[in-house]
Amino acid sequence: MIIKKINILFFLILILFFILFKNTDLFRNTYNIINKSHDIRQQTANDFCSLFGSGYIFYIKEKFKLKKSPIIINSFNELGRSVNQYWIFPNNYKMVDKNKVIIINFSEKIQFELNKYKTLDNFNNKCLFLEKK
Amino acid sequence: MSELFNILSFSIFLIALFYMPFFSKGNIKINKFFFEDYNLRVLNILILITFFLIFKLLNFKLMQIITIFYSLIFIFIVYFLTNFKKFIFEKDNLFYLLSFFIILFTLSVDLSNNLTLYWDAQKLWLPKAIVFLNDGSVSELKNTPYSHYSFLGSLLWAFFWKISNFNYEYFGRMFYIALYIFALLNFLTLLKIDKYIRIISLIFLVLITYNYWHFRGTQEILIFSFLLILSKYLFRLIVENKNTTFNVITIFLILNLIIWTKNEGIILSLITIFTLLISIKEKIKFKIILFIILISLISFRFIIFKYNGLSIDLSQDFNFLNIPQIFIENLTYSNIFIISKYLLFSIFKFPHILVSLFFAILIALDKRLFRKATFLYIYLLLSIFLITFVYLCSHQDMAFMVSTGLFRLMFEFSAPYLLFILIYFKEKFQI
Repeated sequence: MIIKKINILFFLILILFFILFKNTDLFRNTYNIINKSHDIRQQTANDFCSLFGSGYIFYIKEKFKLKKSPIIINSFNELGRSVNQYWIFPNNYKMVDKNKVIIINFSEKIQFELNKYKTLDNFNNKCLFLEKK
Repeated sequence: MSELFNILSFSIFLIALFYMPFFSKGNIKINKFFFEDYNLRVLNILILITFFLIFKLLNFKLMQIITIFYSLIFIFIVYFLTNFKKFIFEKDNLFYLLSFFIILFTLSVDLSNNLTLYWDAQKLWLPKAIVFLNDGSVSELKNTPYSHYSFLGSLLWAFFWKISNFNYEYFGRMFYIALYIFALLNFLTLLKIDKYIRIISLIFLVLITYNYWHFRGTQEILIFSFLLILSKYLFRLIVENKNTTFNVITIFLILNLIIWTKNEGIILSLITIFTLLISIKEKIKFKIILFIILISLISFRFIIFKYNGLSIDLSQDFNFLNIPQIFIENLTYSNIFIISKYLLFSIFKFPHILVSLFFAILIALDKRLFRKATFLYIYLLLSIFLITFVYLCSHQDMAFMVSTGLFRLMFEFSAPYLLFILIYFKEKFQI
């Protein structure tokens, strides 16, 4: 009797909702949001130490608790394809900490006086976080 | 856990915003038509977005716009509470609100976990949003890349990012999701169906159209949503010939927003108005007035750009002075093959286009239905012709241009195609 009373369409809605939950990975996403901070999720969402290297910048921001953006140099930018990643520090727009530098896709082509800086973080000699000596 | 709670609370806020006013009708003296089928809600959200745009063009700071917004909300709440007994509430309000909430929350959680921003979003749209977020003016956009691009999407991104008070950019993009779901729900009000079937249709439409790909910060989803809202009023005006004034006002409000969202929105607005003008049964004088209004809106956009020192180029990928020459040079079999190949791929990439075209074929087999849907075939042909024409006019590398842009272009143009499905069901089942 009870089963008859329950609307079939209502059950169909429930089934479709579950398909939507499954298609969008709702439960896994919820788990990730609860257990991983925003900046850690950004590290996996973006290229870590290649192309734009946004993931690495988020990693440095999280590790060194940076409020202001360091100077960001990306050799990929020479191709005109890179983006300006100061958006990662949206609350300090136009405020750059000139004593600190992040280099993405480091190569010999970049004309940069490394000896004037001390290395705070080095990822595979390709992505560096430096501070003025 | 707090971030999840923030997503939850912001979803509730967005639903409240889109579902305002909550009442259906009462003792207040207003045209009955406004209360039918979400019309007042559509008007509410369109006027709200237009106000944001106008205030920004008048160089109000984002914080000032937010203050005005909260003042309006406060006035509405006072009005709502003092007139509470006069209103009649739709009995299904809670059911729709709950369904809207579940979908919005689910997609927002997906957004919050994915987070990836597309190249265009990082290069073009987010820097503009950050200028607005930090109370920058329209003229400051000249310091951002591609400053000649329209910026309404970035303004909305910044506005809802700031109003959320949660420091993460994706809260701004949650508005895009809410608008997209609202557009689908509003579209379905064209059918007179049971509330359960409406929600089943809504979830089905979400399942065939949703992909995180659309929410990576690019603006096509906004154009798609605006066009989908517009489709309803296009249908009302052309097929049902209902309440011309209201439908025309709504269509022009949307066309204006499309013009300010993306540069190709200008071309899109022209083909939409062209479709409308050759399909409605009105006097030629009326049609000329409509065309002049659109041209004025487009001109106004260019004047504002010029006034603020922004470039009035539509695109740097085109050399407008040499278009005929470039077009003739590009008109080769290999180029047409590349464009056709990606057009075909896009049909399979977006299931809603495939389903819509299937129903377009079914409608074409029925003379009576075909006559009703003629305007859609005109739009379909114009949009495909336009996409092909645009690529043939570009002096850039064809393969690169087509592979990076055609899918998105096809997606944003595709919203009205969904009317094929709707017209078929509406006529076959008389719903």
